[in-house]
Amino acid sequence: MITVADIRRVLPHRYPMLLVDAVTELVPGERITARKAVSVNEPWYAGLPDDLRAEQLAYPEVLLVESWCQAAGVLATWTDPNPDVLAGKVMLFGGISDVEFLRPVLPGDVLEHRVTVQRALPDTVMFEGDCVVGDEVVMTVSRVVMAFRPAEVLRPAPQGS
Amino acid sequence: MATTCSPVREGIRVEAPGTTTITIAEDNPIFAGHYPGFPIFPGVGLVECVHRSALAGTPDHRDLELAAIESTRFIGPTFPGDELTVELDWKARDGEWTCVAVISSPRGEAAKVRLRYREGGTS
Repeated sequence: MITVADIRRVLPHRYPMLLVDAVTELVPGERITARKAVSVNEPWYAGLPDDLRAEQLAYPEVLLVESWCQAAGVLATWTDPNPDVLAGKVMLFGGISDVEFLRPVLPGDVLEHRVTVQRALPDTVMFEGDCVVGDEVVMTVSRVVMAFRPAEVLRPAPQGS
Repeated sequence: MATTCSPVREGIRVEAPGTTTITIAEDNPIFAGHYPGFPIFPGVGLVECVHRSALAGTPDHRDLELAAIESTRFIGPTFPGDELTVELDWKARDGEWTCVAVISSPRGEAAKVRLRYREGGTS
Protein backbone atom coordinates (compact mmCIF):
# COMPACT_ATOMS: atom_id res chain seq x y z
CA MET A 1 0.00 0.00 0.00
CA ILE A 2 1.28 3.45 -0.93
CA THR A 3 0.52 5.73 2.03
CA VAL A 4 -0.21 9.44 2.24
CA ALA A 5 3.46 9.92 3.25
CA ASP A 6 4.48 8.64 -0.18
CA ILE A 7 1.76 10.70 -1.86
CA ARG A 8 3.06 13.85 -0.14
CA ARG A 9 6.47 13.16 -1.66
CA VAL A 10 5.13 13.32 -5.22
CA LEU A 11 2.27 15.86 -5.06
CA PRO A 12 2.62 19.52 -4.02
CA HIS A 13 -0.97 19.65 -2.66
CA ARG A 14 -1.46 19.89 1.11
CA TYR A 15 -4.35 20.06 3.57
CA PRO A 16 -7.15 20.85 2.83
CA MET A 17 -6.48 20.31 -0.89
CA LEU A 18 -4.64 16.98 -0.74
CA LEU A 19 -7.51 14.76 -1.76
CA VAL A 20 -5.91 11.32 -2.08
CA ASP A 21 -5.53 9.18 1.06
CA ALA A 22 -3.90 6.00 -0.22
CA VAL A 23 -2.95 4.12 -3.37
CA THR A 24 -3.86 0.44 -3.56
CA GLU A 25 -2.39 -0.33 -6.98
CA LEU A 26 0.07 1.50 -9.22
CA VAL A 27 1.55 0.29 -12.50
CA PRO A 28 3.86 3.11 -13.68
CA GLY A 29 2.90 4.48 -17.09
CA GLU A 30 -0.25 2.40 -17.10
CA ARG A 31 -2.78 2.63 -14.26
CA ILE A 32 -3.49 3.51 -10.64
CA THR A 33 -6.20 2.76 -8.10
CA ALA A 34 -6.43 5.26 -5.26
CA ARG A 35 -8.73 5.91 -2.32
CA LYS A 36 -10.18 8.94 -0.66
CA ALA A 37 -12.49 8.88 2.35
CA VAL A 38 -14.99 11.73 2.17
CA SER A 39 -15.59 13.36 5.54
CA VAL A 40 -17.92 16.02 6.90
CA ASN A 41 -14.81 17.17 8.76
CA GLU A 42 -13.48 18.98 5.66
CA PRO A 43 -13.47 22.80 5.67
CA TRP A 44 -16.09 22.99 2.89
CA TYR A 45 -18.63 21.86 5.52
CA ALA A 46 -17.83 24.66 7.96
CA GLY A 47 -20.63 26.98 9.01
CA LEU A 48 -23.47 25.45 6.99
CA PRO A 49 -27.05 25.91 8.20
CA ASP A 50 -28.55 23.18 10.40
CA ASP A 51 -31.58 22.44 8.24
CA LEU A 52 -29.94 21.15 5.04
CA ARG A 53 -31.14 18.05 3.26
CA ALA A 54 -28.72 15.20 2.46
CA GLU A 55 -28.30 16.29 -1.17
CA GLN A 56 -27.28 19.76 -0.01
CA LEU A 57 -24.49 18.10 1.96
CA ALA A 58 -23.24 16.10 -1.03
CA TYR A 59 -19.52 16.31 -1.67
CA PRO A 60 -18.88 19.02 -4.30
CA GLU A 61 -18.55 17.44 -7.76
CA VAL A 62 -15.51 19.56 -8.55
CA LEU A 63 -13.64 18.12 -5.55
CA LEU A 64 -14.50 14.62 -6.74
CA VAL A 65 -12.84 15.59 -10.03
CA GLU A 66 -9.88 17.19 -8.25
CA SER A 67 -9.39 14.07 -6.15
CA TRP A 68 -9.49 11.84 -9.24
CA CYS A 69 -7.04 14.11 -11.03
CA GLN A 70 -4.65 14.00 -8.08
CA ALA A 71 -4.69 10.20 -8.34
CA ALA A 72 -3.82 10.67 -12.02
CA GLY A 73 -1.08 13.06 -10.90
CA VAL A 74 0.46 10.44 -8.62
CA LEU A 75 0.50 8.03 -11.55
CA ALA A 76 1.97 10.62 -13.93
CA THR A 77 4.78 11.73 -11.63
CA TRP A 78 5.53 8.55 -9.66
CA THR A 79 8.81 7.73 -11.39
CA ASP A 80 9.97 11.35 -11.74
CA PRO A 81 8.30 13.46 -9.05
CA ASN A 82 8.61 17.24 -8.71
CA PRO A 83 6.59 18.33 -5.65
CA ASP A 84 7.87 21.91 -6.02
CA VAL A 85 5.46 24.22 -7.85
CA LEU A 86 8.03 27.00 -8.06
CA ALA A 87 10.75 25.29 -10.08
CA GLY A 88 11.29 22.86 -12.90
CA LYS A 89 8.35 21.40 -14.75
CA VAL A 90 5.00 21.61 -13.00
CA MET A 91 1.94 19.54 -13.71
CA LEU A 92 -1.02 21.58 -14.91
CA PHE A 93 -4.61 20.65 -15.46
CA GLY A 94 -4.81 20.89 -19.26
CA GLY A 95 -8.48 20.13 -19.68
CA ILE A 96 -11.41 17.84 -19.06
CA SER A 97 -13.70 16.14 -21.56
CA ASP A 98 -16.96 14.50 -20.58
CA VAL A 99 -16.89 13.81 -16.89
CA GLU A 100 -20.31 12.46 -15.90
CA PHE A 101 -21.75 12.42 -12.38
CA LEU A 102 -24.02 9.44 -11.82
CA ARG A 103 -24.99 9.83 -8.18
CA PRO A 104 -24.19 12.16 -5.27
CA VAL A 105 -21.28 11.33 -2.97
CA LEU A 106 -21.89 11.84 0.75
CA PRO A 107 -19.66 12.05 3.82
CA GLY A 108 -18.81 8.50 4.87
CA ASP A 109 -18.34 7.31 1.29
CA VAL A 110 -14.92 5.93 0.39
CA LEU A 111 -14.07 6.83 -3.17
CA GLU A 112 -12.04 4.44 -5.27
CA HIS A 113 -10.54 6.18 -8.28
CA ARG A 114 -9.58 3.96 -11.20
CA VAL A 115 -7.30 5.83 -13.60
CA THR A 116 -5.77 4.52 -16.82
CA VAL A 117 -3.27 6.25 -19.11
CA GLN A 118 -4.96 6.78 -22.47
CA ARG A 119 -2.01 8.31 -24.25
CA ALA A 120 1.38 9.67 -23.14
CA LEU A 121 3.41 12.27 -25.03
CA PRO A 122 6.63 13.85 -23.75
CA ASP A 123 4.93 16.81 -22.05
CA THR A 124 1.30 15.75 -22.01
CA VAL A 125 -0.50 12.73 -20.56
CA MET A 126 -4.16 11.82 -21.14
CA PHE A 127 -6.14 9.72 -18.68
CA GLU A 128 -9.51 8.02 -18.51
CA GLY A 129 -11.37 5.98 -15.93
CA ASP A 130 -14.01 6.20 -13.26
CA CYS A 131 -14.73 6.48 -9.58
CA VAL A 132 -16.64 3.88 -7.61
CA VAL A 133 -18.12 3.74 -4.12
CA GLY A 134 -18.52 0.08 -3.18
CA ASP A 135 -19.74 -1.47 -6.42
CA GLU A 136 -21.51 1.65 -7.65
CA VAL A 137 -19.96 3.92 -10.29
CA VAL A 138 -20.40 7.53 -9.15
CA MET A 139 -18.38 9.27 -11.89
CA THR A 140 -17.00 8.42 -15.31
CA VAL A 141 -14.12 10.31 -16.91
CA SER A 142 -13.71 10.21 -20.70
CA ARG A 143 -10.54 12.26 -20.75
CA VAL A 144 -8.39 14.40 -18.50
CA VAL A 145 -5.27 16.04 -19.92
CA MET A 146 -2.29 16.86 -17.71
CA ALA A 147 0.40 19.08 -19.19
CA PHE A 148 3.93 19.47 -17.88
CA ARG A 149 5.10 23.05 -18.31
CA PRO A 150 7.86 25.30 -16.92
CA ALA A 151 6.85 26.72 -13.50
CA GLU A 152 7.03 30.28 -14.89
CA VAL A 153 3.69 29.87 -16.71
CA LEU A 154 1.97 30.09 -13.30
CA ARG A 155 3.34 33.55 -12.56
CA PRO A 156 1.13 36.59 -13.10
CA ALA A 157 2.12 38.29 -16.35
CA PRO A 158 3.83 41.66 -15.82
CA GLN A 159 1.52 44.66 -16.17
CA GLY A 160 1.06 45.75 -19.76
CA SER A 161 2.12 42.47 -21.36
CA MET B 1 -22.49 32.91 0.95
CA ALA B 2 -23.41 29.54 -0.47
CA THR B 3 -25.66 27.48 1.77
CA THR B 4 -24.55 24.16 0.33
CA CYS B 5 -21.19 22.48 0.65
CA SER B 6 -18.75 24.19 -1.74
CA PRO B 7 -15.03 24.98 -1.83
CA VAL B 8 -15.98 28.40 -3.25
CA ARG B 9 -18.43 29.97 -0.78
CA GLU B 10 -17.77 33.54 -1.88
CA GLY B 11 -20.83 35.54 -2.84
CA ILE B 12 -21.99 35.39 -6.47
CA ARG B 13 -23.13 38.77 -7.76
CA VAL B 14 -25.59 38.57 -10.66
CA GLU B 15 -24.70 41.71 -12.65
CA ALA B 16 -27.10 41.04 -15.53
CA PRO B 17 -28.85 37.96 -16.95
CA GLY B 18 -25.96 35.68 -17.92
CA THR B 19 -23.23 37.71 -16.21
CA THR B 20 -21.91 37.23 -12.69
CA THR B 21 -18.90 38.41 -10.75
CA ILE B 22 -17.18 36.74 -7.82
CA THR B 23 -14.20 37.90 -5.80
CA ILE B 24 -11.94 35.06 -4.69
CA ALA B 25 -11.29 35.64 -0.99
CA GLU B 26 -7.68 35.74 0.09
CA ASP B 27 -8.63 33.64 3.12
CA ASN B 28 -10.40 30.93 1.11
CA PRO B 29 -9.25 27.66 2.81
CA ILE B 30 -8.14 26.26 -0.57
CA PHE B 31 -5.03 28.45 -0.59
CA ALA B 32 -3.48 26.91 2.53
CA GLY B 33 -2.93 23.73 0.54
CA HIS B 34 -2.91 24.91 -3.06
CA TYR B 35 -0.09 25.55 -2.66
CA PRO B 36 1.80 26.29 0.56
CA GLY B 37 3.80 29.47 -0.07
CA PHE B 38 2.34 29.84 -3.56
CA PRO B 39 -1.42 30.39 -3.49
CA ILE B 40 -3.03 29.81 -6.86
CA PHE B 41 -6.72 29.23 -7.53
CA PRO B 42 -7.22 25.70 -8.89
CA GLY B 43 -8.89 24.91 -12.20
CA VAL B 44 -11.68 23.07 -10.43
CA GLY B 45 -12.28 26.27 -8.45
CA LEU B 46 -13.01 28.02 -11.75
CA VAL B 47 -15.40 25.21 -12.69
CA GLU B 48 -17.11 25.69 -9.31
CA CYS B 49 -17.46 29.44 -10.00
CA VAL B 50 -19.25 28.58 -13.24
CA HIS B 51 -21.41 25.95 -11.54
CA ARG B 52 -22.51 28.32 -8.77
CA SER B 53 -23.07 31.14 -11.26
CA ALA B 54 -25.19 28.75 -13.34
CA LEU B 55 -27.31 27.75 -10.35
CA ALA B 56 -27.77 31.42 -9.48
CA GLY B 57 -29.65 31.95 -12.75
CA THR B 58 -31.09 28.72 -14.18
CA PRO B 59 -33.51 28.98 -17.12
CA ASP B 60 -37.02 29.75 -15.78
CA HIS B 61 -35.65 29.20 -12.24
CA ARG B 62 -35.54 25.44 -12.83
CA ASP B 63 -34.20 23.14 -10.13
CA LEU B 64 -31.15 21.71 -11.94
CA GLU B 65 -28.34 19.41 -10.87
CA LEU B 66 -24.93 18.95 -12.44
CA ALA B 67 -24.90 15.96 -14.81
CA ALA B 68 -21.52 16.44 -16.50
CA ILE B 69 -18.52 18.62 -17.10
CA GLU B 70 -18.51 18.39 -20.90
CA SER B 71 -15.33 20.36 -21.47
CA THR B 72 -12.92 22.77 -19.87
CA ARG B 73 -10.02 24.76 -21.15
CA PHE B 74 -7.78 26.54 -18.68
CA ILE B 75 -6.16 29.58 -20.23
CA GLY B 76 -4.54 31.69 -17.53
CA PRO B 77 -3.86 31.45 -13.78
CA THR B 78 -6.01 33.17 -11.13
CA PHE B 79 -4.90 34.30 -7.69
CA PRO B 80 -6.28 35.24 -4.25
CA GLY B 81 -8.24 38.48 -4.40
CA ASP B 82 -8.98 38.28 -8.13
CA GLU B 83 -12.40 39.51 -9.21
CA LEU B 84 -13.66 36.99 -11.76
CA THR B 85 -16.37 37.67 -14.32
CA VAL B 86 -18.43 34.74 -15.64
CA GLU B 87 -20.41 35.05 -18.88
CA LEU B 88 -22.93 32.21 -19.27
CA ASP B 89 -25.07 31.01 -22.16
CA TRP B 90 -27.78 28.36 -21.67
CA LYS B 91 -29.05 25.96 -24.34
CA ALA B 92 -31.74 23.29 -24.05
CA ARG B 93 -30.84 19.90 -25.50
CA ASP B 94 -32.70 16.59 -25.31
CA GLY B 95 -34.42 17.40 -22.04
CA GLU B 96 -31.17 18.57 -20.48
CA TRP B 97 -29.49 21.96 -20.29
CA THR B 98 -26.04 22.99 -21.39
CA CYS B 99 -24.30 26.00 -19.94
CA VAL B 100 -21.32 27.43 -21.83
CA ALA B 101 -19.22 29.90 -19.88
CA VAL B 102 -16.17 32.10 -20.24
CA ILE B 103 -14.40 33.20 -17.05
CA SER B 104 -12.16 36.25 -17.06
CA SER B 105 -9.76 37.54 -14.45
CA PRO B 106 -8.29 41.05 -14.36
CA ARG B 107 -5.54 39.68 -16.64
CA GLY B 108 -7.85 38.37 -19.35
CA GLU B 109 -9.58 35.06 -20.12
CA ALA B 110 -8.96 32.44 -17.46
CA ALA B 111 -11.06 29.48 -18.63
CA LYS B 112 -13.81 28.22 -20.89
CA VAL B 113 -16.18 25.67 -19.36
CA ARG B 114 -19.17 23.71 -20.68
CA LEU B 115 -21.44 22.08 -18.11
CA ARG B 116 -24.52 19.90 -18.56
CA TYR B 117 -27.46 19.87 -16.15
CA ARG B 118 -30.47 17.60 -15.63
CA GLU B 119 -33.71 18.41 -13.87
CA GLY B 120 -33.39 17.96 -10.11
CA GLY B 121 -34.25 14.54 -8.72
CA THR B 122 -33.86 12.64 -12.01
CA SER B 123 -30.46 11.02 -11.36
